[in-house]
Amino acid sequence: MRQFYDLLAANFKMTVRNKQALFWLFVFPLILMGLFGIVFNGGQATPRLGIVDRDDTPESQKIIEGFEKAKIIKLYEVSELKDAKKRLKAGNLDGVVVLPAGFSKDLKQAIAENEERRARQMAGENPGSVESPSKVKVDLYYDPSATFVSQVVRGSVANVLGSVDRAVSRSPTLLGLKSHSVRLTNLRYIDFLVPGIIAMTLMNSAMFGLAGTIVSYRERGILRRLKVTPQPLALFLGAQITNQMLFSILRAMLLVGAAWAFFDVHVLGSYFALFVVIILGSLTFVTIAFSVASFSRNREISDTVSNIITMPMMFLGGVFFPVDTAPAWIRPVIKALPLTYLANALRDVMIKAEPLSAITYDLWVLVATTAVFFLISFKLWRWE
Amino acid sequence: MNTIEVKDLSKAYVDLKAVDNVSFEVAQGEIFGILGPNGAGKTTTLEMIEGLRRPDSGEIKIKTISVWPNPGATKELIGVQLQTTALFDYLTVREMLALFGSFYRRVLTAEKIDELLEAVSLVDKEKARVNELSGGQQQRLSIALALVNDPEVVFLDEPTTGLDPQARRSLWDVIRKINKEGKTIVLTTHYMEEAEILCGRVAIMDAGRIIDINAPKKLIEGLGAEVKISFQSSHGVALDDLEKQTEASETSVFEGQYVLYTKDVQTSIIGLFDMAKTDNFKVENLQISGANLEDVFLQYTGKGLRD
Repeated sequence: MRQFYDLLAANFKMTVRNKQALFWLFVFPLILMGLFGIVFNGGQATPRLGIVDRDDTPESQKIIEGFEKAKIIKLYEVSELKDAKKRLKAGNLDGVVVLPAGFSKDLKQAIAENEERRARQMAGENPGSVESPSKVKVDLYYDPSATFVSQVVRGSVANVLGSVDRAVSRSPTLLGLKSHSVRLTNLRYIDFLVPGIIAMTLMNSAMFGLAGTIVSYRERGILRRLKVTPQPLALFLGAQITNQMLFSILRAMLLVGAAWAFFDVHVLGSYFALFVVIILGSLTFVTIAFSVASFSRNREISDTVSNIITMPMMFLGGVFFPVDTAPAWIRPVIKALPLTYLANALRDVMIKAEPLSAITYDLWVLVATTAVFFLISFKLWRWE
Repeated sequence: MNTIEVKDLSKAYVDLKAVDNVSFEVAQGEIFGILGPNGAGKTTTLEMIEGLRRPDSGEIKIKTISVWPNPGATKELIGVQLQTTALFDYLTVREMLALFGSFYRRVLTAEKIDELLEAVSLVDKEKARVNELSGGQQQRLSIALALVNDPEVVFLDEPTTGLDPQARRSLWDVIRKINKEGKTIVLTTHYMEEAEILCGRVAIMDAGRIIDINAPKKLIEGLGAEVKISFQSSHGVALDDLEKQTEASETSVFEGQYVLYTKDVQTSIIGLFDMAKTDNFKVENLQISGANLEDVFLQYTGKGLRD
């Protein structure tokens, strides 16, 4: 234990003192996050929203006017729901809001109930005993597979409804979206980006940091030098891997902290779940890195192979932009990339507040990948 | 008592016999050298003794403990410096020593680290990062690393290769100092002056075989090689006379430079000065050059060491 601690401490020191590596592993992801965050934040294409007015009353018109005034969405009035759905499927709309028949009647009733409630409150009755008014439902249709866009649409619609609500009813709680099970967040690009960047750094630090280090240790005879000491080399590699995990956590903390400080990004899920996903994801790429290191004769080879492995994942693994709208022919490739599952899992935890139980599929894929690459590196491993 | 016993050691790579039936012993407290050109099998032999490479056949014992099949048993007893200086760039000299010290059962105290730094003259570099050291300093550090466990025997694989003459000399001092403190040392080299200066005994190795083992002086004497004596004279000297008086086997003169070859330096020198006195000439610029290990190697293998 003492020996392991000494090794870990030495590894920690070496990592902190390697300025070049520190830049790539800490400063570079921060710069990347900052740049993308600034350039694309708010620059997201305005969601296109179709609206079907089945009520066609002055009240429903007021709602539509409210949507028209809102700058965060672009509104298209559609007379038939069928047409609107068709356009949604064709990708010409990102979401459809339906104001149901009887909408104005319900709204009037709700307002009346609300007035009455307020009057009773003024009369000094205990507000707790008063039934809160039933919400007036508005239907929203969207494509759930397009996670990112649909989140934006839902967020926008909720925003607009909120403000219209306040204007029409002087109470912010009368209008509600029918899809209550869905969390309504105004998802921004930066919220999407931060988990992606964390996933990317987990991958890159293993593939370039760890694999390269191990290969150069072998190339320079350091592994052989350690082999003539009584110290088991497995302990040395164990300390190396632990160090990698430690820095993965530190880096994630830094990125999350910076995202919070500069872009007001919040981790909505549990930090424990986030911790689990980071450790598992880090382990996955550690085993991939070891596989690369096991057959690479020198650092040039390991860096080249790592580039070949990480490049497609950087662009297709859903780090910088959502891949759920990618054309069908490339989807099998996307589904074959471990980073896709890691980015997904991180995003589900960080921005959708999903518990671990909701992302078991992603986690199992990562566990399986780890197992496979562990076996590969174990089979191919060379000390010299 | 023998610290190392090597018996009938062999190792082949595909079709190359890297080490071919090698046997030798190293006594407690001696500096034992393995001399030979690149590719002679020196490093392979050393690596088998260090437990890095499994021999095809043969036996190796360190302090009566067999190295194979369980090299772990002897690792606490040995200190190793490999041909490549294998160091962590981002640690300081002291941290490096402390880390390697932690690999062994024997506790490496701060005082012991001070002693090691002193022994390899790196006291003022203890806080320097490894990648800031010169080649000679790195080599001295890697020798200090071979001593962190206070080993019975220290293996040095071509310790001075690639160093400038001054750094090489300072490393020789370090090696002698370590030996004086009672450590048995086994080193490989392809510099004959290094083997002659440092080693009590030398094994001459070529093409996987040990050709001869003896003290450097004995090896050279065993050659029966002749010593070359050259001088200049104030007057002309008759070569016939010179040959007779000095009992030389061969004499020659070229542009006033007389050269004679002899097996018995003392007789020849006395003869030369007797003759100078009688014939009244003055011997100037006298030079005597003996044979060295290079000549021994040449004699045995028909080729030079630095081919």
